[in-house]
Amino acid sequence: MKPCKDYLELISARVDGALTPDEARRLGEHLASCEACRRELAGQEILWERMASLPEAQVPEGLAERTFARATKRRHMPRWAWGVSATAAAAVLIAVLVGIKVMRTEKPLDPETQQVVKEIDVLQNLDVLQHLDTYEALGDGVIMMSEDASKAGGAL
Amino acid sequence: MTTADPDSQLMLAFCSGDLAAFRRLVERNSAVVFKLAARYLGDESDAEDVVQEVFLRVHGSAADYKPTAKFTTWVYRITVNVCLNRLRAAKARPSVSLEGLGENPEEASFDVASEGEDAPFSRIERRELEEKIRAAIAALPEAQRTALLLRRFEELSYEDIAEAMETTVPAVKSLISRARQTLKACLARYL
Repeated sequence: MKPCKDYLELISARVDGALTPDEARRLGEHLASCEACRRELAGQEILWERMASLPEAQVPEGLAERTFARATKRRHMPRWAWGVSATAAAAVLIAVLVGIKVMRTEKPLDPETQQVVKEIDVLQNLDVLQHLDTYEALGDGVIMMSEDASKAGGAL
Repeated sequence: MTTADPDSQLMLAFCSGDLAAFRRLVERNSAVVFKLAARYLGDESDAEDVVQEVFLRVHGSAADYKPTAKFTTWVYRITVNVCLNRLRAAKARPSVSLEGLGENPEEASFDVASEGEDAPFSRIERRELEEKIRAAIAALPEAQRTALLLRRFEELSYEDIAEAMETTVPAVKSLISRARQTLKACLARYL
């Protein structure tokens, strides 16, 4: 024979009316010979009745109306609709970017413009441009010095 | 799939953009959610906030909703989660003491026998008993409390409770049985 603690779940299920026929038979056989488990069952049934006697909470007036208003006020359209909108916006952006790329790909620059772009690229990469003023100043100095030297030489 | 469930049908209609269906869902279910929240929190004052948060979540879940369970089972799950979040956030797992709930018969504040057989409880005593039961329920571990409340007050089947708690039927049976053991021990002198 199983110990009584092994029947506790069956006793609980019996209070719930949730025993299978086999479980009901096994528990019935045990209860027939176990006074302690009969008392346990009786106690659990009384407990269940006492719990049922607890008063229900009083639902406040206008609860549904306020709940609906709050849920729909915060977001006028459901989150999925926001998701759809965001997806649509992203799709438009992607379409624009792809369009630009395609236009660039499908309509190459004419040779003359391509040459200009190349020259701009070359110029942009020349470090010399960053120091152009310095070079010009140095250049002016060299010229002045050579002019002075010429003058001096001439005087000699 | 439970599309025969009228609430699930309303939810599906709402997913298709029918706001009136959502209104109907709120009208049909807000009181039930309120009562469960009040029992779960042991306090009616926060129950309305729970109802509003639950339906905000329902409203926001339209994109992902699939009627794999009864709508009410799904809503019970959300309700329990919201209640648990509140209790945890407030560290408010009610600090209910089990003292005086049955361990010490000398502390009993009333004597059932003195009231006579026909009226075992006076109004005051009944109220006290209700408070004892509430306190004992509130002191249960979360899972036991959830399973017990869904069974006792919402009268969910073990299968639906398992669905709502995302667990198994044997686990639900065990939880409810243990909850009953604890309550019975706490309230022994009143039973």
